[in-house]
Amino acid sequence: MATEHKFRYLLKPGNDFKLIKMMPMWCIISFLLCAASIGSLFVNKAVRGDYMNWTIDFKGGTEIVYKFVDASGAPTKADPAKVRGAIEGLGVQGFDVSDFSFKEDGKTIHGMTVRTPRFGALTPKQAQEALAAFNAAFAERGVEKAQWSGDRLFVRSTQVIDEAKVGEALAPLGLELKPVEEGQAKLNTAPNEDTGEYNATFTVWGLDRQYEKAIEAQFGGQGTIDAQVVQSHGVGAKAGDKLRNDGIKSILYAMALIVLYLAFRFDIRYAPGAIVATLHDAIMVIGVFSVTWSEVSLTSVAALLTVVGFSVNDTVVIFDRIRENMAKLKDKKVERIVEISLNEVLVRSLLTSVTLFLTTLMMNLFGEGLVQNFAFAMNAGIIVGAYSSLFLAPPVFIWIHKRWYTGPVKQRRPAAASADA
Amino acid sequence: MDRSLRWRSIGLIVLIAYCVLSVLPSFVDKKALPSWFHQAFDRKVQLGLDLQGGLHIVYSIDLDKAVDDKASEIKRDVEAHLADLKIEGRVSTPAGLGAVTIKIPDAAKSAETDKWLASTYGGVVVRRPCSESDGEGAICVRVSSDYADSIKKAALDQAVETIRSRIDEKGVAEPTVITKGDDIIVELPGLDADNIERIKAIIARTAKLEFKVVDENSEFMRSLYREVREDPEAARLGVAADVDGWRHDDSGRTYDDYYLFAHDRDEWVAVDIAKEIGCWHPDSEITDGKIFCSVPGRRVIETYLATVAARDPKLKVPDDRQIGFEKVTPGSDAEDKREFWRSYYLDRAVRLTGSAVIDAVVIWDPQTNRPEVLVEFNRYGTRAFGDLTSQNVGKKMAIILDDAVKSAPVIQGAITGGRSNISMGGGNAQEQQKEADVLVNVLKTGSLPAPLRWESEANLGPTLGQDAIDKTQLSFALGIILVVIMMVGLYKVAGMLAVVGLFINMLLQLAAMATFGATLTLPGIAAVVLTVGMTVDGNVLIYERIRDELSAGKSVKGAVDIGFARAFSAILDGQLTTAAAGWVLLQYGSGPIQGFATMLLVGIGTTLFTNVWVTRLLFDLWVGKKQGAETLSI
Repeated sequence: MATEHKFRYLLKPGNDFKLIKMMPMWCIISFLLCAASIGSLFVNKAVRGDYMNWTIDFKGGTEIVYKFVDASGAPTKADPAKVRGAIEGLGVQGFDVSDFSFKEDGKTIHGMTVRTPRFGALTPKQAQEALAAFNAAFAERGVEKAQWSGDRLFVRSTQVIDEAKVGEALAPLGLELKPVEEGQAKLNTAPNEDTGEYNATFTVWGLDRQYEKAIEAQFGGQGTIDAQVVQSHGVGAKAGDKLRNDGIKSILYAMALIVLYLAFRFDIRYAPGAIVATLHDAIMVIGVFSVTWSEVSLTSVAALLTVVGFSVNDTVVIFDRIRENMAKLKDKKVERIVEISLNEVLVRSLLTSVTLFLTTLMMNLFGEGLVQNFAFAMNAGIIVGAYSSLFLAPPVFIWIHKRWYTGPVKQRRPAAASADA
Repeated sequence: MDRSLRWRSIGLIVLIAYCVLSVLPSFVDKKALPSWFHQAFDRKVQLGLDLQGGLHIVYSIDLDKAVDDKASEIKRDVEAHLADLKIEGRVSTPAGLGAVTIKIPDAAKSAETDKWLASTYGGVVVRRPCSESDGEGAICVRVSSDYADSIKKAALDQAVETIRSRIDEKGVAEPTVITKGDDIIVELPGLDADNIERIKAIIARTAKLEFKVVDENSEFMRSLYREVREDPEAARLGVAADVDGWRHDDSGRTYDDYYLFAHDRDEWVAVDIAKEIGCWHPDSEITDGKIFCSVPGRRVIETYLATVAARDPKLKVPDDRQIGFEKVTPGSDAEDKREFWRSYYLDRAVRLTGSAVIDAVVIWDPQTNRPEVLVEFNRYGTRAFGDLTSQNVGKKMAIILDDAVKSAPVIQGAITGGRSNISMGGGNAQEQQKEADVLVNVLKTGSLPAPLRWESEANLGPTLGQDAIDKTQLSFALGIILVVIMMVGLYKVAGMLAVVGLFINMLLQLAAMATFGATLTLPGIAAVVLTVGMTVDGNVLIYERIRDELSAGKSVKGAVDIGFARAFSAILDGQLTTAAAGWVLLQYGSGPIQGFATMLLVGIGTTLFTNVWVTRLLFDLWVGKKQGAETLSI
């Protein structure tokens, strides 16, 4: 004991925080926060129209391809960062911008594709009014179906619908028809050979023009760079039902396997605590996304998985210390053993969490787009992960231990057993 | 320095050297490296769509096919209904989107059936005006336009899911497969041209597998055979006829299979036909609206059959029969080694389809030394296949994939084991191997509801955006610097060793990815961040233990030994629990979940190795130098 060690401490050793006393309070707070998280989903559904701020990954949207020409009319390249900035300026969230080079008449054009989670520029009210105006104007043309899909109006009718008249009908509402594309023109004016019906599609200028104007303004207004819409289409979701089902299934299976592993390596008393902590973290991160109305993309799913992975790891390390102390300090009450163990690993838990938190904080502060979104989820997740491992998993363990565990079989005497019951 | 330490140090140096070499091609331009080098280390860390972009392909899908399939289904259902009630009548699906015609001679029964149809298929079918070919008093309906819309939508969604699982099966990290109007966009990360071609071959396969029975000894084929033998038009087109005869040993019956055959022909064809037979490219030269194409032999025969049928109605293929085609590669003893197409006269009824397949594997036929695909049927399929083979012993069974007969073996006896072999047909052994791999993939993942057609292609930049990627790199670097400051600040020299360990860990991870040729995406980077956290965690656990032991008065060497030993169980359990979760995500997840899980598992492996072996070695080297020291800079 003679040697004087000069260690630098985050927290001086010998700390003995009375953590157990606070446990019931923590559990109640956690329960309330989880309930609030789930509740916020329904609030969002009621107020904002959807449970979470899904990006195009989950709900699809519109893909618009632009090409750019300079003042002399020659094709030119544009800076994706500026295009992104322009669309961000419109208050759009959760969209992707990427270079998109394609061949046109044998020449390579360096265009850009914008994928936005919005389906059209029309507000529901506008769409309804436009539909009413359309139906009024073409009441006698045998319209069987007329329906908006984004900025497109699909019409099935027994008689031909004149494009110019559609334009006239929609003009009072401030909507302007786009020239009909070559392939579509035939479908609009000739009946389907088999059914004898006309399947016409009319497109109004919507998101594409809105974004085009913003992009042109970003590049310095008229005459510098002219953005032209090559095509604009509704696109489906990247993450289909299969991905969602697979995701949910795999998380449930993963939890089952964690239970099995803990039951095998530790014993079954430890498993529920780990599961409660993990579920708590997942719900809380979802809650943070829901309350702050942050974009939920496939990357957010990766962040959620990372948080869960971190939390499980953290919880198991704490359980490892409890297991060790349970063997060492047989004479103490279980609450006290857990408290000692927590105090012992507190420094390590704090240090690890702070390290990871700072790493992702940098990504949150300096990153952009999806990366920032990911880092934001991580920051929230690390806090709840560290918290749940320290303050949620141990009380669940204590509760299970006192409620169900009667000690190893050989120690159990009839008297002790009846006293427990 | 003791011997074990020396060997371990050499081991570490060799490992680091290997890692650096295998990671190098991913960061240095290929031209800057000597040629022997990229032969030995040709694999690269591929970057995903989000980080590097890739190829954007648009396919159109013939959704009308799905509507026609519905019409066929209605036809079968009506036929079953008529058979149940013993009503005489004929059901057909004439040309025209989703059209069904029912002809029942008895007017009262006809009206009854009409009523039944309206109640069973109300909303699904609507009346259509009967055409002349439908005949008098027929019930003429078609699939209603609204219902057709819903069929089309379902078919499109199914196609997207099928394509997704086909690409997933190939192990390509996170492709994007989405609908775009009525088209399908497939985006593949920046793979090399070879891989792209392979994946395209898999995507575009409809993979419709059907088993049908060949109708041998038919009068129709015999007269067609005679016709071809004498027809100058057939000679001009290069269509010939032959007969394949055999005797079934057990039953003693003899069979004559008459067939037509033709070689591919080079000729000028109109652009729309060229598009149909797949020889049109954006760069093809067009002269007078025509392209020089190699017309497949089956199309030559089809064209000929159409002219013959127009000339003589008796030589028109009956409604309940059809002509199938097989591409044949002559054996090594044949005089003419050119591949050709031959016809089969088939019973139109489909006896069994690919939907009854539960598994498919490539096997090698020891006799021909060529690959075959062995398919295994589900319970329904096993029964249907048993019926098919037992009822048609001695005859040929045609195995048809995407409208081409793959093979037509003679059924020697009933097969009740629920398995069947599909041979690969034409091509050399290497092509057959490729074809067999494609077939296994598409049979396992199911068929597309309708054929796909390539429409256009474009190069896509990173979806994350280059500017965002640059910022991410900066922020990642800043994060690592903070970790270094914290570790060195708290644990001084030991902290530096931890940082060295952290960098070795990241190098190992990259090298593992490069060796597997894995694809790195943003979710993968998320897993790397988690790995950084877990490496630091491992070090903190070890260091805190060593501090405890030192404070308790242990010697430096003893404290290090005990510190590593005690911390090991916590590290191992933490990592293995996470690995268990990661393994499940890899098995059952898809897309980004899988990408995350792959990197996580790799990271857990390298982290365990780093914490237990590398850091320990660094410590031994460090502590070994200061024999007899009483404290550590930890």
